[in-house]
Amino acid sequence: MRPDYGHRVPYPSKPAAAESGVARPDKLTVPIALAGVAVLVAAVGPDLAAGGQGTGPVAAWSTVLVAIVVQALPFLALGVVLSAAVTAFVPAALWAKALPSRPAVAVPVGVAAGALLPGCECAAVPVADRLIRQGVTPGAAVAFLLSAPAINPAVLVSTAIAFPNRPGMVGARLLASAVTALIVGWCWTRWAGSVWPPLAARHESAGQPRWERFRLTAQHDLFHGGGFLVLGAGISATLNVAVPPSWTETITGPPVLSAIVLALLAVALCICSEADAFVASSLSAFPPGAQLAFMVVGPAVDLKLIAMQAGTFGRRFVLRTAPLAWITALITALGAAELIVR
Amino acid sequence: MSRPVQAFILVMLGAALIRLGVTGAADNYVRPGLRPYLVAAGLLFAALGVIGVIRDLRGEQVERAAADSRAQARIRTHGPGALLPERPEHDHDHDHDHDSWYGHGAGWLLCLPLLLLLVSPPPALGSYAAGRTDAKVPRPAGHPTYPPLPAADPAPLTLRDYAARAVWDHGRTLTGHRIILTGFVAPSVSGGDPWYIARLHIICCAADAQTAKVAVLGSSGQFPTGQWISVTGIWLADGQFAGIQASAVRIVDEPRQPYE
Repeated sequence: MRPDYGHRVPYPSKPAAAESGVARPDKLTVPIALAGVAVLVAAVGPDLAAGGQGTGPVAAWSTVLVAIVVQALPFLALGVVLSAAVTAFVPAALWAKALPSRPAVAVPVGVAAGALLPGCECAAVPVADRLIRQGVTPGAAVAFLLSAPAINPAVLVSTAIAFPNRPGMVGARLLASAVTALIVGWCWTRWAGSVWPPLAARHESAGQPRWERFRLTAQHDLFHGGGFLVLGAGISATLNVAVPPSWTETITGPPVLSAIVLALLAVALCICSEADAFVASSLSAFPPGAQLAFMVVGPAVDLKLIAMQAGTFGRRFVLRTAPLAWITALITALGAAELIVR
Repeated sequence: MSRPVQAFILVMLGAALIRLGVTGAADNYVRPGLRPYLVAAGLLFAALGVIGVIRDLRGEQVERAAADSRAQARIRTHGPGALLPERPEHDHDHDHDHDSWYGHGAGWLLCLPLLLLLVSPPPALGSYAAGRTDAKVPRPAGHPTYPPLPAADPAPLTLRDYAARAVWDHGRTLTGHRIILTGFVAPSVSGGDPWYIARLHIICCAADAQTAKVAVLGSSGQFPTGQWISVTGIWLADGQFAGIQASAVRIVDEPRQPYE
């Protein structure tokens, strides 16, 4: 018997079928149309090697934007491969066994683990995110996030090459960056959940085959991290073009002021941590403490990282972590410069 | 952004990276040593994308078939109105799926550099960037040694090396040599004589580009700003600045690697 739905409700099966008949092919036509455009543009598009045209600020802006993104993408690729492997192949129970049970002790382990990842900042964000999702204590993951780009072997070697007559710079950088990561990690352990927003373990949808999980995690993290990477690169490119490069030369004053100036410059420029030592050493008008502050702040806080962290961990995370890390990095850099670099 | 669209953008991103790395166009943006890594990352992205497209399209067909048969079964057992209460629930699931998978709209931002590369690839930084700094030569890091110039006449030097030798080594290794420099024409700061030959130096990528500028004297040639030239001449003492007394200025093609 047909129930009396009356005229209030349309007969369901037909409209539902019609609607899905329209909506579903849409999902297919978009990628197919995109594929057509992609093939067309790739076939007849302008020759990349010929280079583009234009000499003005807009051309410079787009060059810097593309340069930051292109140079970061291989490192982001490394990061998403690691993060996807952590998600798909490392059982969550392993972290509980491998890490000390007391969060305060796990933080130094996170710092030490960061020293082993030979990547840039962009690699550390997705890995830290997946570690937290796997149940690693947030303080340790944050410590890893800060130490991975700052004190890995590649960065220390490039620092030694950039400052051949100041061997103390390498040790000072290692010390200041490690202490910064420790302090911020401990702050997270102490205040996570009460004052600061908790970074809770979120359960992954298990049940898919491992390689499928690997692929989907990598794709998700790549788009997530990549989108915010472009945002940060765009802001950095804007500052790069808008701020005249000579403004740093006009700053003269006490060492603390010059360190603050370079620490702000490090946030704005988004230079990858393997290159920042060379830029710091070229800022030869500044005292060593300020140069050190540039190198300790840069891998911990810059616009690109702020954008990526805001996208991954949320705005509230960045609003607390970025200022804390910036001030801690500045103070530890000045302290380390006093102690080691003379 | 739905997952199949993501997968397609991945394919295009991978193709763009491979093309940048293989053709050497990447030299306009990053240091040459990064090219193999660009190709590797491009291959990874392209592989992820291709597998994603195939799996998502196939999965969609399977899912649609399953959903249709579920709907048919429900209509059979619960009557024609059976699908109505299910739909809001389904929408909710869909939204949840959006949250966890498709993320924010931020992924769309990846299309910006991709479109720039595909439609109008940005040029290497040049005279605009060089024109923003003065010609002062920064003190080189450490105590660099300045080995004798190559025996060739004229001896080719990078602008950065020449400027450092001229200012911070007081031209010791430069005297008695003819030198050839390759760069582009940069405007003079004041608008009159001299004008400059300039070249940018990058460490990692164009975001950290630094300018080396050498004043060209003794050439009356008029060249448009940005024109690639080679200058042959001898070192000219000019205090804080680096200068060259030109004997010949020639127009050259833009080198394959625009940066030093």
